[in-house]
Amino acid sequence: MTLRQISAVLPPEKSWGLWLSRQIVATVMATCGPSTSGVSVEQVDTVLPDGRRLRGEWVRAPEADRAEGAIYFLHGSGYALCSPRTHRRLTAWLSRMTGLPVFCVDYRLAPRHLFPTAAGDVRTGWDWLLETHHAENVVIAGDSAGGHLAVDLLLQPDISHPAGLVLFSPLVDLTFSTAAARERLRRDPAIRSADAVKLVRLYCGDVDPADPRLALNAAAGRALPPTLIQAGGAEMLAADAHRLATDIRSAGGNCELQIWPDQVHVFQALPRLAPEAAQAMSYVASFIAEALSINAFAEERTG
Amino acid sequence: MFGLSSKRTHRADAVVTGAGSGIGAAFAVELARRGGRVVCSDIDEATAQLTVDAITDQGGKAVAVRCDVSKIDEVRGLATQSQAWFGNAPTLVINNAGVGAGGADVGDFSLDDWSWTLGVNLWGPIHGCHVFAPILREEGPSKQPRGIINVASAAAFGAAPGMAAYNVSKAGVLSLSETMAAELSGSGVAVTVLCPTFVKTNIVDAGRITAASTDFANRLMRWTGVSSERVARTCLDTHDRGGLYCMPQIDAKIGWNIKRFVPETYTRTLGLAARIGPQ
Repeated sequence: MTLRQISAVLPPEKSWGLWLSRQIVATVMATCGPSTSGVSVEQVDTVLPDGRRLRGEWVRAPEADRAEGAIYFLHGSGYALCSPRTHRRLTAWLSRMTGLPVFCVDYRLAPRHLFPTAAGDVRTGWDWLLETHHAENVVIAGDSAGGHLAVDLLLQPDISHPAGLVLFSPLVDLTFSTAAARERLRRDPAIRSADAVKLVRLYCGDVDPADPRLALNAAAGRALPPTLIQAGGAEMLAADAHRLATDIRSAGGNCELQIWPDQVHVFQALPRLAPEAAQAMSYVASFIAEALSINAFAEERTG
Repeated sequence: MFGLSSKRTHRADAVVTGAGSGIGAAFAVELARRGGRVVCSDIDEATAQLTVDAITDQGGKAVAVRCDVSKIDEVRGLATQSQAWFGNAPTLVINNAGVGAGGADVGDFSLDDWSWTLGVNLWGPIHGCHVFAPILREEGPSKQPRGIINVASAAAFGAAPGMAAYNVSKAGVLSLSETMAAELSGSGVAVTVLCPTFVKTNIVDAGRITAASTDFANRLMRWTGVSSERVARTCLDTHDRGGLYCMPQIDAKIGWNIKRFVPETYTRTLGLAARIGPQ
């Protein structure tokens, strides 16, 4: 892989550098991603009663029409690079594996929209989804920066919690100092921490990284719903995954951490490159089924 | 015999001190990559745990143990815990933990800093050898060859001005290793002493060094430093060959030879360079 060298020479603060980075990520995800056959996509562009605008897309596998539950998906890639379109192969696979419709929110990206725009859009999407779904029938999933957005959302005091949380290679420490310590032991094949910092700074701007909505303190906050974290052993964000799992547990939450040896960042989106992705995803599907069935069971008992 | 590597650093049961960062972390990761089980000890258990995570995430076996090597009781505890975790005696011990100190001439450098430096850099390896040498020696002829690696520095013979405590501590480690190599010859326990110059690690930031010197040392490290992984790999390969001295960088080798052949000229030139060089 030469992504590391490529990402090192593309300046994210220049528009051509950012454009090229977006093209490369989209191409890699399209070439190595799973197939989208049989999956229907419905664009959503609506305005909530309180005037907030929401954009996103429903991704439905054929058998996902009748399902009561849903997955709320927060895509990743440094707040600046990706979209529901780049992640459609992943969300489509998720829908096929779980038999649930997946709503992928199209939050506005940096550098045009700064912190906390993306977090606000994610909140809007969750509020909109809960107009038609019960929170306990929904699982939130996210990858990379989407993991940061998900944890940030769930740490807010006035948010209903979903049945479960699934995170692929979540980004936790936006200063990348956790990741840099890991990088000194093993280089990440995709990107250097110094370049990743530049990318994320497009979103954070000059906001103090100690801001509680940037420096997520999951250890002292609300206990999160049952969580599954998967990360690759070859990526520097494996260190973030460890930290988040420890924090969630010390806040009294239930968290399962899986590190897949030799795998790269969000390898679940690249099954043509990493055969382990299929194994990881089928585990995700059974985790989600279990999280939803526990809640359904509890409802039956109380109702 | 067949398929079983007879190399000391392969499939080793290794104890590494100061494994939370720098060369120690690189040693631990490389040993795990070579199929070994690694006890990662550090005075800061959280950083040792980071190294352990990096190893276990890739399917390796490692455990973190807190240990202040300047305290003999803690080193004894480290030996007990390691043996319990391995289920047998360790086969490789790397006395790596060290701190940087300098920036003031003899007389200006506080005695407090002297004893802190010697406590970690000199007494640390002494404690390590005192506790582990008998364990390695007693193990007797077994399938797995055994060894000790002590991490000294090119400062052991470099005698750079303004770093007396560090130089003395590392010279002590060099002498300790040479002595043990003689004592342990024929016992099956190999001894290697590592003398690197500048390696990209956090020793400058973590040590007690004046700000100006820190800045200069950091710049030097950036220019001339090789990565700690490369130093660790080179040293483990030297150890496999049974080599006593490991000078992983060309400047260390050159300095070592000049010092051996023209010691007085070397020292005078060094003093001159320090007077006209960056302050």
